[in-house]
Amino acid sequence: MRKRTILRGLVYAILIVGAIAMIVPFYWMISTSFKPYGETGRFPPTWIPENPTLGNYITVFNILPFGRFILNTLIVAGSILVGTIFLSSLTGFALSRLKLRGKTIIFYGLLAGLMLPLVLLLIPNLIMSFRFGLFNTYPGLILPYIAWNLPIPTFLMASFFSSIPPSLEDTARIDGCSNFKIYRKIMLPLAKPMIATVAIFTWLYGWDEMMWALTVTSTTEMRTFPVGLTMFQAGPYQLYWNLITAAATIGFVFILAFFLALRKYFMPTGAIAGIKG
Amino acid sequence: MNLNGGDKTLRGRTNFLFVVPALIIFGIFTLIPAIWGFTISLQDYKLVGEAKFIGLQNYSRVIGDPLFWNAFKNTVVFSLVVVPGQIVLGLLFAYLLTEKIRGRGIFRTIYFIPVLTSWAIVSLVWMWIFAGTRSGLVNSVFLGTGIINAPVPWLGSASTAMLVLMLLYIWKGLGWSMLIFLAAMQAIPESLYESAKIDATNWWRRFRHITLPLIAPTIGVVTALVTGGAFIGSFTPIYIITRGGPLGSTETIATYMYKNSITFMDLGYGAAIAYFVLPICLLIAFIQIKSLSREVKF
Repeated sequence: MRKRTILRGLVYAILIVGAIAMIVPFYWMISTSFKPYGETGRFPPTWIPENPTLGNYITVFNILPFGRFILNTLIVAGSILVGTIFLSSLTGFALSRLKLRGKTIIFYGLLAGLMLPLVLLLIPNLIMSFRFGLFNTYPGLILPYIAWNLPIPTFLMASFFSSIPPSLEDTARIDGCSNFKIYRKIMLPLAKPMIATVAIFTWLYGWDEMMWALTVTSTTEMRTFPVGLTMFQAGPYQLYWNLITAAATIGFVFILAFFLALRKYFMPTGAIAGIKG
Repeated sequence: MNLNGGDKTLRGRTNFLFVVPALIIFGIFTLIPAIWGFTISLQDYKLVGEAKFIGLQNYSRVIGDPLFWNAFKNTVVFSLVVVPGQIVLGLLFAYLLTEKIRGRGIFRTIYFIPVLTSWAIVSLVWMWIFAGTRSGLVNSVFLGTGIINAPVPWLGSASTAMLVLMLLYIWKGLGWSMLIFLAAMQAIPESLYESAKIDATNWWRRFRHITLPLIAPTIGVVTALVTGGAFIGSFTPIYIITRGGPLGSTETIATYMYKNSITFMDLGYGAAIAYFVLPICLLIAFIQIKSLSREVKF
């Protein structure tokens, strides 16, 4: 009995230490974002801002087109989201439920795409974006993102649909439903939790991806959030940690709010979609 | 997963239309570039000027490039630390969270927050925390407790920058592997633990003889995915925090390839680097899935 109590104490101790390590960086980010510049360089640092100010949150929009970065990311992430959910559910449904030739090849072909690192696809895609006039445009960002994000959501959708009992669609088929109607009216509503989970990670991908965003955009007004954020760090403001953390906190809220809104549908098994993020 | 439902699959002449949109977009932006990229690696291909076929010259340049091998070595060391780190800690926290403890949901959410944050955000926050000045959080805590006497330039020194990046990578991905392991552990029926007649307090034996063998396939999948990510995907944090410096100590294959193709505009050479390491990536993933799935049967 005694041994058990000690063990339980140890479990709590490890979990609490871990939780502190996870939380402190975010606390420090938010705390710094409310400090005036002078307070950020102080030793010892202040855990709670002595003279809290909202000024940093206004300044970040004035020194760089930060509003534009966020707007760009909302457009890009929103489009990838719609594209990914539509294509992955449609393809996942076909691969798990429809009679189709070459199914296995398509399925493993998509998964093999997962093994190809972005560094490998970067150069041909860049050349292609020049030739097709996609360089420095929204479609130039969005379309490749949808393609690169597709394999795992499709895999997850296919495995989700294959777990639904066939009796459901049999009834619909007797009623004369087309395959598309079965997809639209029966399968999609059932897949809500998986769609939500895929949506969470796709949203994150849109807010997170940097290598391609850095490569395929060239003007300040086409930059997305991650690239724009690093412009604070590279420019004359690189030591203004109060401004950098304020900008970072804004992005943090956009990403986390989306997760919190969909949290009740979140499926832990679908978290595998988060590997890109 | 069963892809061949036999009679249970729906017939229809237009079924192929369901997969056409995905195949088109996947073909244009993944499949064709994957093949085309290889032909670029065989050319002297600069961003400006005429491209010229040069056979395997880019590849022999890769083999003889000490900077590439430095990046390669760094990538291997990085992966050898962060992959086991993320797997072992993910397993530890997942296992602890299967216990009936108070605030389980809160702990789970807290560990998951870094996963749901973008790399750009956490990279900048870590730069600030590990700032080399006295006001950097880590320095100020260490100075305050007397562990160090003078501020340490964590990210500006070749001996510590890589360590900070490794720590960041493990910290960011820990919650992800934890969540997937936790889902797998919760799928193990409680009756299995009971029938094994292992004393409930003997956690290690329960873990070693029941949990571990049953979730081995999941460990295999997670290991393969994490290795793929660490080996070639770890671009953003390194690009933001150190740009491969100081003195090339944090240069990895991803940053070195990016530097050559985008910064130096030598696309042919950049492509050759990517294709040179591709078989290694595939091999690592393949070996791990194989070896771990063999262990399951036992």
